[in-house]
Amino acid sequence: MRKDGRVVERNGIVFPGIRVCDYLALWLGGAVLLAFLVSSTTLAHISRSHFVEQRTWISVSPTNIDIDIGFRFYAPLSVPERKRIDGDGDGQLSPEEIGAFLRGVQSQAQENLALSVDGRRIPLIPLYEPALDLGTALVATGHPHAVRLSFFARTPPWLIQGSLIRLENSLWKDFPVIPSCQAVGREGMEVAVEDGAHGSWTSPGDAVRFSLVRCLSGTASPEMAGLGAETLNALKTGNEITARCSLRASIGFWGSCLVLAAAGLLTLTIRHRMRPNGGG
Amino acid sequence: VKKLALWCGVLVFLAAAMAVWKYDSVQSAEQAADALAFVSVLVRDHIHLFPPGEQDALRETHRRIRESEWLSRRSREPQARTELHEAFMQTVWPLLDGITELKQVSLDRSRIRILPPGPLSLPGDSGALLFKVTDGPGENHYRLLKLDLAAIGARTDFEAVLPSSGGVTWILISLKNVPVGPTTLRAAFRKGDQLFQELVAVTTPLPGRLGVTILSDDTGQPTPAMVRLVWKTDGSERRPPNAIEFSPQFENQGNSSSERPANLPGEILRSNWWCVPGPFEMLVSPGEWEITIRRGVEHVPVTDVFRVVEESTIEKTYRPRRWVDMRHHGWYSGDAHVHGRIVSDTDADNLMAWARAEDIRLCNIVKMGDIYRTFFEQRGFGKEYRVQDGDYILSPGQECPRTHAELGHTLAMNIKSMVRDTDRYFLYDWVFDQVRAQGGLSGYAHVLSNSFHVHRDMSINVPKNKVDFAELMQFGQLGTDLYYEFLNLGFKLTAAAGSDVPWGGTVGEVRMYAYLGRQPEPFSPDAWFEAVRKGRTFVTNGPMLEFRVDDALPGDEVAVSDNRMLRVQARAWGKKGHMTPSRLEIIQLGEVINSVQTGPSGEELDLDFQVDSADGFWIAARAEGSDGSRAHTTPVYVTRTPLRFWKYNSVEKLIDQRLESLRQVEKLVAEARTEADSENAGFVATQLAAQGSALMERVQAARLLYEGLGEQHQKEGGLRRPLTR
Repeated sequence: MRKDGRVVERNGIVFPGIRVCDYLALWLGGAVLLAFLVSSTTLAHISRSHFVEQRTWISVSPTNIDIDIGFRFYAPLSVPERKRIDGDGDGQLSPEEIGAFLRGVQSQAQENLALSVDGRRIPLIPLYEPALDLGTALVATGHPHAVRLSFFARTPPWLIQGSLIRLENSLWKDFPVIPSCQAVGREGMEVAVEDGAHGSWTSPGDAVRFSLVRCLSGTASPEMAGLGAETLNALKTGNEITARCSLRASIGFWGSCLVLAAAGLLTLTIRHRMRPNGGG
Repeated sequence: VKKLALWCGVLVFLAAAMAVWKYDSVQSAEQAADALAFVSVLVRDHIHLFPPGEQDALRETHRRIRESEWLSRRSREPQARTELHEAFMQTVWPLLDGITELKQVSLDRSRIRILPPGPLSLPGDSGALLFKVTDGPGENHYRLLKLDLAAIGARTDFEAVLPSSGGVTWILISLKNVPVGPTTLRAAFRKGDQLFQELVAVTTPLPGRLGVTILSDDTGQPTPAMVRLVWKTDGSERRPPNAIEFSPQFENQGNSSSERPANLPGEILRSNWWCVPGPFEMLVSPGEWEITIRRGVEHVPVTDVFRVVEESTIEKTYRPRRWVDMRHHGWYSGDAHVHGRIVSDTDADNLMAWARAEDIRLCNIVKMGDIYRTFFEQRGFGKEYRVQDGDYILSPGQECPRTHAELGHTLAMNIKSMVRDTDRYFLYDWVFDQVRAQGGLSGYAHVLSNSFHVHRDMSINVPKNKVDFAELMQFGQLGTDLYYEFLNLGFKLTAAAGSDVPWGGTVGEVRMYAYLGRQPEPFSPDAWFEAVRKGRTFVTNGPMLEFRVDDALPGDEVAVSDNRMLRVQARAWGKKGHMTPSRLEIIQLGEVINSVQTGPSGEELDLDFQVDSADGFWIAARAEGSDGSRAHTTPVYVTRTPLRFWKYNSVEKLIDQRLESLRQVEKLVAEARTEADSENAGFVATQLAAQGSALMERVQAARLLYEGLGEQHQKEGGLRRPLTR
């Protein structure tokens, strides 16, 4: 290493050396660059006047609460989102890339959506596969795109007249979002969206958006009371089924071990017996 | 060394066991996921393949599969997921085997056999092909394919990849836009390097012919209307052939599709709608069809289900019944916020047809701007550029200035020219003054959701009495939090509503009514604007409202000099079987002071009571419809000199909120000045910095007004008496 620390030689190859102050400068520079990028991106989102439109449809029956959420990305936000989907960067969105994106969306939805009735959380279960309407598979396009998610929950037995259904949503929270909510009662149920239920139009990074629906008349079906019990229980207790399945899975794993071990032993035994002098 | 070898051996065994187990589990989990997707598509898109008696059971089975999948996913054990799936799929397979349209495919070395032979009859121009490919013993596999025969570069062949492990593969091919009569498709099944090919014929039935005429309930003559047409066989929505193409007028802004996803309350909430300018005729597949026709909230939507048989002609005439004609009550509807280019007669005809279809009397067609550019060009502004067709009027206005991270969006109506100067873009009062000088009206957009920081400019210019109205309804929602904050400080603001298409769903989905009283036909748009200026409005997407305090209408002032009782009368009404008011409330200074509610059977809710004039207040009516719709009036202002009609006990907090908004504006300007000094300063920051001093003067003037209010609050302490109801 030279005394000025600029060059290091290892195994005959010369590397540029870095001193402590260089590290600091590098880190500081990186931090400044990062801050600049983050702030400029955020500002760009806001200043372009473009936002994601989020429409939530909630349908309540005595047996099920169906929830559809549609996200529409207008052109300026659609292009960066399409770039994100375009894994290989070839400018075209392939079925594989779309599939991977939708799997990611579904997975994120499970973490970023929460449904509760009168403050008690109930499980939100995917009803249909998420759908992506691109208009065109090109990345560089002026076309908007839309994502649609479908979920359902079993109407919990404690849903009665006056109950409040609350859906929290923090999907795409890094985008400015215009949320809206519509609700309908079915099979004798009457519901209404609460005033201000859609929350404000949000800026990137804003708090969770929520939809509120009040049950005006009707109750959960008594015949269906037991239907969602297992899912409710799973949510509440940290789920027994996990333990049950783990046990089953463990049997599968150790069973495989035993089979392989037995096979190994058998092979060794056969090889041992096949030796002319009995081994040793 | 021996011990090491032994341990290595054990580890190798464990790793191998893990690999075998994991591989098996992952494979099974993937199959389970495929099975789930397969059943979902069947249930959602092709439930018609199953006998009607089995459809509900299949839907419920699908939910149970989804439920079990969710449970097992939480267990994070793919094996468990598979087992749960298998259990439910056992009930689905017999249903699949029972489908009469099922094609059984068997592979034998290089030969392929598809049974039963002969063409497959589709129910119409869309449908499904379902193959069960049996390739020796093994597990079940699932494949989903789509074939749109009207897509760009449409093909008539498809290829399904079969698993090398054999077993049964279920293949579902969703077909769209299949031509009338016989069509031959080339089916290919690939297994490794082997390709099995066979021709598959499908036939579609001969279509019927559907003619639809929609009549105005006012004139009995054909009228534009909003239409939704569904082929019930697969639930697909179909476009009427003469549906108006709005996309070019939307300039790719917002949701520029001509299929409008309306934000409507009630059963028809999720629907998409086409605007048809008049009667239409089209070829349709045989089967059951559902048509729904809407003409805005004053009409009861018509839904009809009918059956079309092959080669038949079916003529339908509908006359959606008007359950109320608000003109007869002196109220005329309007939409304060409609975007759309009008540079030709065709453009004007299209938007006029939409206004007539939704029965909205006056549309404020706004040219939109931001600091960079404008959108939705208009031929011109002023009376000569209004478009009038009987009692329907398109009047050019503007949505500008419009800043998103700074001060919010503004609207103007009845202007003579567009008011826009980027060198004064952040000085909204300049625009408000110009608009007022032209005889126009100014207001804030998106107040319902406090969007784009609209509270900031409201805090600057509402105290200076620069604006007329605030948009309280949009996207089917009513939002009053910010509105009440300003009313509670004793500022008058007229309630307005605007659909904001193409961001909103459809013209008039929320609307404002202005009270004109008896009008000669055609009514005068100038009278409508004058009524809005007076604040004689209410907003709604369902219930109709009437509200009086003594003889005063919304927007009016009732001046009292002494303590006396005032008569409050409110009425909300709807139509039995369509929408009825479920709650009527009287709001005084933001609090509900009286309300009445009923079950869905009552068509009308009334309140008639006395209230003490006390020290003055604002008072309004609010209603809720049985379908979740909302309505809200502009307040009546009860004033008692020298007191303000404000929420006295909350004034300090309310002033603090406004001062905080002003501080945010100051911070914005300071940040813009900092950014403007940098090399990479943006246009917005540069302009905001340049206009910063002028904006700060306005902030300072507003601050002085709030200080004055604070002093008045102190002085009023000794003059006010407790409120009695």
